Amino acid sequence: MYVCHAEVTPVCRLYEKSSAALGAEVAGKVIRECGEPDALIVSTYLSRMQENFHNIGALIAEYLGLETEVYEVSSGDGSGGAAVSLAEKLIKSGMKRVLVVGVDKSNDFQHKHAVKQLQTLIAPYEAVYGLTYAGAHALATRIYMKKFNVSEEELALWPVVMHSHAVHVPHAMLRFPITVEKVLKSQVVASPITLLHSHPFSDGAAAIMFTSESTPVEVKTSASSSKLTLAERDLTFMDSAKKAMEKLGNPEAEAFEVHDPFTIAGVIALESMGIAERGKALKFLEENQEAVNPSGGLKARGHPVGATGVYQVAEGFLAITQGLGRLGKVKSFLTQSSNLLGASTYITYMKEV
Amino acid sequence: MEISPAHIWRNKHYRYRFEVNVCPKCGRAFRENVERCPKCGERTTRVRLPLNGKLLSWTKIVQVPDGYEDFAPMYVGLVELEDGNRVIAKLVDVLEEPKEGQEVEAVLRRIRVDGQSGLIEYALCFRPS
Ligand SMILES: [Zn+2]
Repeated sequence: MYVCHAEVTPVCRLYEKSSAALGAEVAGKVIRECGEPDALIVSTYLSRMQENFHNIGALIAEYLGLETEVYEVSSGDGSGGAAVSLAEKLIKSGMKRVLVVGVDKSNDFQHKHAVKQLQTLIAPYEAVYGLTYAGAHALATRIYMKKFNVSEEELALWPVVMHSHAVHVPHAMLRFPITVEKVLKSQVVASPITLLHSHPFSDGAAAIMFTSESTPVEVKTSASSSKLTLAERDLTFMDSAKKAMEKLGNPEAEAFEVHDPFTIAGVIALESMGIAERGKALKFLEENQEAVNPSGGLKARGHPVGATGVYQVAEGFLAITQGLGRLGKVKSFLTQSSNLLGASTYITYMKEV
Repeated sequence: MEISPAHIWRNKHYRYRFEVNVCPKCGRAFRENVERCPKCGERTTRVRLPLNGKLLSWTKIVQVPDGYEDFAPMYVGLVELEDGNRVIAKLVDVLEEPKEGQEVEAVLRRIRVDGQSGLIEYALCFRPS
């Protein structure tokens, strides 16, 4: 499978447009570049609850004037990666062009509503106590810190690097530098996670046209799953990410976009994918700053939840075709999109051909 | 309305008593009514988990979800029970900062109140023992 073209909107708070309008606008640009698709796959997560509308795929297709096959794909906060993964299956089944649109909204209500809506990622028998998306990552953070003897100061490197990337990325949401001290002093969201360790609440849309016809960017995908129940897992490792990488033959890449709604998730992602040794992801980050989340990651580019995995792949395409932020231009790129800290993981490997 | 009497009814075995349905063949435990193991097809047996354990991890949730404002800040813990099973539940009676390794015991507490219907939801939580 190849990428014909990709478009993204700036990630921000966007009150004036619905997710259907936003998704259709960005998708239209891609269709005008590549032609009509044989199938449309839409991924979203929070917008369903934010807009109280659960039939967005059909409306995006209508706005685009498409009469092709339409699917909505959902896999929690890994939905974007899941949509890309399925696109490859459709291309392999003989389709010529498949359009993936990721779109989401998080800011239509006060944040406490998005916080509640994100709880729907967690199994009901764990969420009922008030455990939040941040809280689940906080449980993992504390275990990781103890297991690998990592301090809060060391963890703070992650968001500092992410913000340093986002400054140079036009579509990123948080384009300002921060310091370790600021991370440590920012307000607590779910201890030990502070606000500056957390993704912003984001709106945004990304669209990618995949094709069976050769282009300069080839794509391979891989996916795997593990357990959803948090209490049943090793919260410092994502088996699903390890397995998905193995299925791809553990390809080496020059740069990565990993799924970091909170610092700990990015750290564990690098280690589970075999990019860094266990307990050494922060050291790897320190030595390879440009290679890790050149967009700024979920932390600083932003996290329009159901669209995030599509943004990552669009960014890989950008990095290979024209260069991305501090990273510049590369020949190979990996993206990782996961559902609740690895209940399932979707990997994409792109390379210049 | 957030709290459903139907949800309370079907979840009561785990929420009130930490009863799980265990498959005799593969040993997996389901935290809700699963009468036959979906994988093996064996009839599951209802087993009560121990009510004592130790704290593996915890968090103090300051940014609480809509509907939980009256409970903020909330403590939630990951607990390893005496038999090695692990559960996530709320920590209550937290007078000083929890510590990993701390001994805890389960107690039934109020965890949610529905502002509109007045329905109250209870569940087993953990307190220092
Ligand atoms: Zn079984």
